[in-house]
Amino acid sequence: MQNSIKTRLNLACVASRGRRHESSGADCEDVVVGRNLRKMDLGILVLADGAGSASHARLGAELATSTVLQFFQRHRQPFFSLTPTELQSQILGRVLARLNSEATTQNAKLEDFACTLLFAVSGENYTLFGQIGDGYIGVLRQGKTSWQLPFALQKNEYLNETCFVTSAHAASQFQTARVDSAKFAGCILMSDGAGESLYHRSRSEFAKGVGTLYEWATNFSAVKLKNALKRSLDGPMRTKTFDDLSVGIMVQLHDAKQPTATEKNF
Amino acid sequence: MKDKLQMQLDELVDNPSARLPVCLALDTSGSMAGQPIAELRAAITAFYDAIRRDEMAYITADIAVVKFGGDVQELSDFSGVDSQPPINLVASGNTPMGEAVSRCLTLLDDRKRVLSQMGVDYFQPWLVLMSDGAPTDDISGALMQCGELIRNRKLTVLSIGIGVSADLNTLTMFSSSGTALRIGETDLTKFFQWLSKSVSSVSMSNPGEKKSESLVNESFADLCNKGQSWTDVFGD
Repeated sequence: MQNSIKTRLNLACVASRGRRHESSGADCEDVVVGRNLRKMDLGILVLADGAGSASHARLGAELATSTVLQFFQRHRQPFFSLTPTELQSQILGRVLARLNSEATTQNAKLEDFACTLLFAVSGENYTLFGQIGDGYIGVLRQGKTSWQLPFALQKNEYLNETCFVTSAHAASQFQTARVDSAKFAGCILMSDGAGESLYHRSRSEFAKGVGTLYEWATNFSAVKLKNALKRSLDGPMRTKTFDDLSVGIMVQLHDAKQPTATEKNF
Repeated sequence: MKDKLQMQLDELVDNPSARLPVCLALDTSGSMAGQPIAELRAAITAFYDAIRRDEMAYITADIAVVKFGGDVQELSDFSGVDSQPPINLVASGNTPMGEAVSRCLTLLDDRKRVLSQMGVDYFQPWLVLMSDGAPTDDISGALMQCGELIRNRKLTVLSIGIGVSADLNTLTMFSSSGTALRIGETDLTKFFQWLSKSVSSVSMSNPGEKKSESLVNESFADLCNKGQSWTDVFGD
């Protein structure tokens, strides 16, 4: 039976195996997880894209996302008072500890678990964003219609260059930002594969479809939102890339709109 | 009845596909006359066909061809395989390898600038250097340029010696894998088949996958090691 706690947020996330991995029979190396913890008034999205060159890319992405998710769940609100450096240090330290532990268990190297990392966590006062490596985060301000990046994209000269959580320079490349939750309307996290259809690189703008996702998220239940997101990833978005695709979206709801989001895993 | 919400194609953006600039520097000096030049022409045609058959390589390969025999000439500017003109190679003259490599590096640099201006992502470019002899011009400048680019991970050079007279020492100096492959002219097609697969493998590498360049180098080194068995026709 549903409790009567109103939800401030609605969110959903989906990962879809791309055409390249489908043709080779390999796993999807994108992992995205989300939680809408109404009792804690906390919404969390974490996305990781395993490095194609890493032998345990999928596992690395799973471990990285679950570690960051646990960190935000277990530490509840105190992390909002951390400085950016402290937050980066705590998150990256935990992720590397988890990956190192797994590497030891599997007699593998740390870089075998390489992945990028993106997250968004929304509390009552602040909404935080973090990113290591490629992929895109879009943020929408209350009252606005155009989505913006929370920080400048890290652009390397060559496509096959990026930073992973396991890279030597991961700490220095770790970008974080926050917004006042009162001004926060919504955010979207996407892997580079999903970005092929949802972010126009040369125009530096998000696709119209991101606005559509926002409308769905503010008007429909998390289940319906997730289904629609999955159909979009498996359908038109998939035709735009060979890569795996993943998207997580989280919106702040107006009082008048209360989709029947439930406290569960998406 | 299930809901049918789904994004439409016109709500999505089209980003241009990432490109892999590949510059072929082909020795067409007088010593290539006869069967070698005919085999080289056939092998390049087969290379284009192999690229066409692979969807991912097809949209990624961005090819230019430079010949050096007597003088240095650009036979084709960077484009996909379908825009490549028919390969018309005529063997004549000496072997201005240094000038050819420098020209290729300039072309690659210009191409990167153009792609960048067009907002097109690109992979680390490749220079494929093929010769059956030794350079007849000064190569020191070209060697320095190549060495610096390779050290800075901005270029992959694949060096191919055609036949027994190829100066492998010089070709090795240019190579980013630290080795040059000697092949018989009848095996050129096999090399270009490998090359098309390598283009495909890079195009299939995840954006963000740093190892694609080293994998190509390792694969090329393997090819060099195995390559000795390809040279039976010359008795190597």
